[in-house]
Amino acid sequence: MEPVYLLVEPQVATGDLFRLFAELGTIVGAVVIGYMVYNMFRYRAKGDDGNTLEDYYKGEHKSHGGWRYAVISGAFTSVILITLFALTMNAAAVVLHPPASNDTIYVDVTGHQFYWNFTYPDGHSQIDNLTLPAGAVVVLNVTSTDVFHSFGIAGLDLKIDAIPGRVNTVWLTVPTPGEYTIRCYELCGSGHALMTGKLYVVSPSTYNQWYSSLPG
Amino acid sequence: MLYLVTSLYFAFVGGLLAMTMRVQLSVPSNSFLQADAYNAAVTMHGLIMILWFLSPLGVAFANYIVPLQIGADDLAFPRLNALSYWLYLVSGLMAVAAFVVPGGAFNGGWTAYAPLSSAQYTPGPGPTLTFTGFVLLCVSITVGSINFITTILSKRAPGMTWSKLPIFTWFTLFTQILMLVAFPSILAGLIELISGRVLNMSYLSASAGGALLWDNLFWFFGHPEVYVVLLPAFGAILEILAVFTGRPLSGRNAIIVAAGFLVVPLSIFVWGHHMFVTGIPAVEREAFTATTFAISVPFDVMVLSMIHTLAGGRIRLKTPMLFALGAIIVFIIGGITGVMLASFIVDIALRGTYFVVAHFHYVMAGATIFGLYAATYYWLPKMTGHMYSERLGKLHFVLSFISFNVLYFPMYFLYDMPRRIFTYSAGTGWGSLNMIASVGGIVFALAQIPFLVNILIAVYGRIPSVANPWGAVTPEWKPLALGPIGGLPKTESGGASSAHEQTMSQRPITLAIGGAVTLTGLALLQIGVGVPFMLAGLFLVAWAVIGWAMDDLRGSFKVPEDGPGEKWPAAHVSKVKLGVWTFLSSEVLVFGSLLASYVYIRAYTGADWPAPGTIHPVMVGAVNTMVLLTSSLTALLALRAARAGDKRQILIWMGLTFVLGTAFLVIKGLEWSDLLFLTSYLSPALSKPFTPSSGLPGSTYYLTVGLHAAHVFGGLMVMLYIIRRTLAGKVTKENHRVVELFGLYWAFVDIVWIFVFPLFYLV
Repeated sequence: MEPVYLLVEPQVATGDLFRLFAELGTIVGAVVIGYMVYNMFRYRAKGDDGNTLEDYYKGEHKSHGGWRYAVISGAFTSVILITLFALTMNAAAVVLHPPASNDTIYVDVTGHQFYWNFTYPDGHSQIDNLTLPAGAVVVLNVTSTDVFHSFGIAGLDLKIDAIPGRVNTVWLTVPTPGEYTIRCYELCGSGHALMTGKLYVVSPSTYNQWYSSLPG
Repeated sequence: MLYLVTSLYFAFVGGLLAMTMRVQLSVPSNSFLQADAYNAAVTMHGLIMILWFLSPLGVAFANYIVPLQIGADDLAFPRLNALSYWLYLVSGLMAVAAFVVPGGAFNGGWTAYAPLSSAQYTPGPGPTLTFTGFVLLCVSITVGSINFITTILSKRAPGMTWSKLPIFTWFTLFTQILMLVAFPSILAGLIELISGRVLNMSYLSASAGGALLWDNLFWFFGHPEVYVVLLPAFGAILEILAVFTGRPLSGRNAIIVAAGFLVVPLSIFVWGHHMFVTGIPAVEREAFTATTFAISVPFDVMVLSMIHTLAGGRIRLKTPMLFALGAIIVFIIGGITGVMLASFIVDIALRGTYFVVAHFHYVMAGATIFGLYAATYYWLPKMTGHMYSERLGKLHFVLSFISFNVLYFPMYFLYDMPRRIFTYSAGTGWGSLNMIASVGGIVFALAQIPFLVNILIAVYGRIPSVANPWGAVTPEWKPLALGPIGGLPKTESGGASSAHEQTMSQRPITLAIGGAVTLTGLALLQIGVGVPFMLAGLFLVAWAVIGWAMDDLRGSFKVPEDGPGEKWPAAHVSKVKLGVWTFLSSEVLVFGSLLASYVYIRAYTGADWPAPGTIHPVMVGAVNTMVLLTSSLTALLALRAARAGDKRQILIWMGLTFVLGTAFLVIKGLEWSDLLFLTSYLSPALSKPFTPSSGLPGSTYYLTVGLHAAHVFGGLMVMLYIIRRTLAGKVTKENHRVVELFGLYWAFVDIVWIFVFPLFYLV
C-alpha cells in the first residue's frame, strides 16, 4: 500500500475546530456575562425613590452615545466572525477534499429501517459492521433506501446524511487501529435509537488478510 | 387574556410531554416509554411548544399592549382578530386530539422530515390530523399578521410617529412581518404533505428530490420561526431594561435598525445551515455559514447595547428585571453556541446531537420564556389592576433560572448523544449527565407553581396597583390608557366598552369550527369516514362566510372607520386595502413556494417528464388563458364604472367578469374530465387516465392548477357579493372600495395563471 502523507485527518480537523470554537466561546461568554453581572451590581439603586425612567426624564438628559457604541461593538464582532470564517474555510480545505491516492477504498453505505449496510468494491456486503484498514484513505458513498437517516461515528466527529434518491460522499482516514460506534443521527422511526453499528479499524495486514478471505 | 390562558394551557401539555421524556432518559435502558410513544412525545412537545405556546404567548402581549402603545381603540379588524384566536385554539386542539385518533399523533419529529412523514412510514389519520391542525394554525397566523401589520401601519394616534413608537411595538411589527414571510412556505409544504397522505400524491415521497424539497420548504419557514418566537420577548426585555435601569436604552435606534433591517431580511437567508450535511454543494454551505455568521452581528449589537444600558443606570432588581437579565444571560450562552453550529465544519461534529438540543433550548426556550415571564410580571399590574407578590416572583425566578441551567447545560457535554433516541445503553457513559438534566427538568417544572399562584394573586388579589407602578414612560402606562381587559375599564372612557361590544360577532367562531371540522374530515378520509365531516364542516364555513357577508350588507356590524392619526407611509391607503395587500403578499409566497417546488422537483427528475403537448393540450390552455385575461379587462371596466357611480355599467361588466370566470372553470373542468375519465371533449383521448396519483407530473399539475382554480372560485363568490351589493344600491361613487379590492385580487389570480400556464403547458 502506497503511503499517503496527510497534515491532519478530516475528522481531526473538524474536532479541532470544534474545540477551538468552544474555547473561544467560553472566554467570550465569560467576559460578556461577567461584565453584565458586574454592571448589574455596580449600578444597583437603593430603593425606588427618584430612580425611575419617569424621574430621569424630569431631570437633565445625558446621552448614552448609543450609535457609536453599537457600531464599535458590531465592528468588533465582525472581526471575530471573519476570523472564524477563515478558520472554517481552512478546515474545509481538508474535510471536503480527499487526497488523490491509488489505494483509496470506496465503501457504499446504505441506511435502512433500522440497520446500516456496507458494500465493498468487490461486491461483498455486511450489516452494521464496517471494517477498515488503519491509515488508508476511505471514501464512503452514503444513501438510504427508505427514509432520511444520518450516518455518524461517535468519537470521530464525522457525520453525513443518508437520503433516499441521493448519494452523499464523505472521506476519512483513521491512523491507528481501534473500535468506534456508528449511530443514526436523524429520527427515522421506532428503531432510531437502536440503529447502531461498529467500526473496526484494523492494521493494514489484518485488513488485507480479511478482505482476501471474503467469499466475494 | 384569552391568548395568554390558552397558550399557558398548551405550555402545560407540552411540558407534560417533556417530563415523560426526561423521566424516560434519566437512566440508561429505561422502560417508562416505548419507542413509538417516546417519538410521539418528542414530536408533539416540539410542535406544541413552538407553535401553540411560544409564538402565541408573544401574540398575547401584542394583542393587549400594541393598541395601548400606539393609542388605538382596538386592532384594525376586530372580527379578524377573533377569527385568528379561534383558529389558533381549534388548531391546537386538533393537534392534541391526534393522540386519540387511529395512527396516533405524528411521531416523526417536529421537523417532519420526508419521507418518514408519508403515509407509508407513519400511517393512519392521526398524523394527518396533526398536520391539518398545523394548516389551520397557518391560516390563523396569516390572518393575525395581516391585522397587526395593518394596525401598526394605520392606527397610530396623532403624534405617534415612527420615531416615538415604543420598542415592543417595533419588535411586534418585525415579528409579524417575519410570520407573513415564513408561514406561506410551510403552508405550501404542508399542502404537499397532506395531499400525499390523503390523495396519494407524490411530492415528498418522490424518491428523487422529495426529501430535500421538504427540507428546503421546512427550514425556509423553520428558521425565521425562531426569530418569530424570540423577537416579541426581546421587545419586552428592551422595554423592561430601560424602565428598571431608569435610563433610556443605549442605542435605541441602532437596536431597531439591527433588528428590523438586518435580522428580519437576513433570517430569510440562513435556512441552509440546517442542511450542512445533506450534501448540498460546498459553495452553498459556505454561503449559509457566511449569512449565519452575519446575522449574529445585529444580535451582538443588541445584546451589547442592552448591557451598555445598564452601565451608569439606577438598577432596580424587581422580578421583571431579574427575568429580563436572566433571559439575556441564557441568550448569550445560546447565541455563542449558535455561532459554533453556524460553521459548516463544526456542524459536522454536532449535527443531530444533544449539543443542538441544548443550543436551541437556550435561545428559543430559555431566552423566550424568561423574556415573556418578564413581560408577564411587568404588565400584570396593568392587565389586572393588582400587584403580584414580589417575594413569590423572586422565588420563581431563582428556582427557574438555576433549574433551567441544570436541565440544559449538561446537554452541551452530550455532544455525541443523538437527539430523539428513546433509550441508550449504560456503556455510553451518558447516564449521569442525563440524570442531572432530568432532576433539573423536574425542578424547573415545579418552579412554575409559584408563577401560576402569582398570576392568581394578581387576578383575584387585594393589593391594588397604582396606574404606573414602575415609573415607565410608554403610553400604555398613561393614566388615561384603557384599563384591565375582561372587566370594564375602571377609569373613564366609555368608548372602550362599546368598542368591545362590536367585536361580539358569532361568525369568526363558526368559521373556525367549520374549518376545523372540514380539515378533520380531510384527515379521516384515510379511513373512509371523512366525507360527512367534510360536508358538515364546509356547510359551517359557507354559513359563516355568507352570514359575514350579510352582516356587512345589512350594516349590522359597525366596523370602526379610519380615524385621524399617524399613517406614514400608508397615508393614502385605507386600512382594508392595506390588509388586502398584506394578504396578497402572503398569497404570492404560497404560490411562489408551490411553483418553486415544481421547478425544483422537475430539475431533479429531468428527462422523465412527459413532453409538452402530450398531456395538456396547448391550444385549450391558450384559449383559457385568453378567457381569464379578458376577465381582468372587464373587471377593470367594472371598476371604472364604479368610479363613475354608474350602477347599470357596474352590473354589466361585473356580470361579464363572472361569466368569463365561470367559463374558465368550465373549460378547466372539461380538461380534467378528459384527463381523468378519457372523455375527449376538448382533446383526443390519452391512452390511460392522468390522475393526481400519476406520479410527479400528476401531483404537481393537479395541486397547483387546482389551488389556482379554488382561488378563481373564491373570486366568483366575491363577485356574487358585489353584484348583490350593487343591486342593493350600496356600491356608489363615494363607496366603491369593494370593487377596487376585488380588482386587486382578480389581477393577482390572473398573474398566477400567467406563471402556471407556461410552466405546465408549454415546457
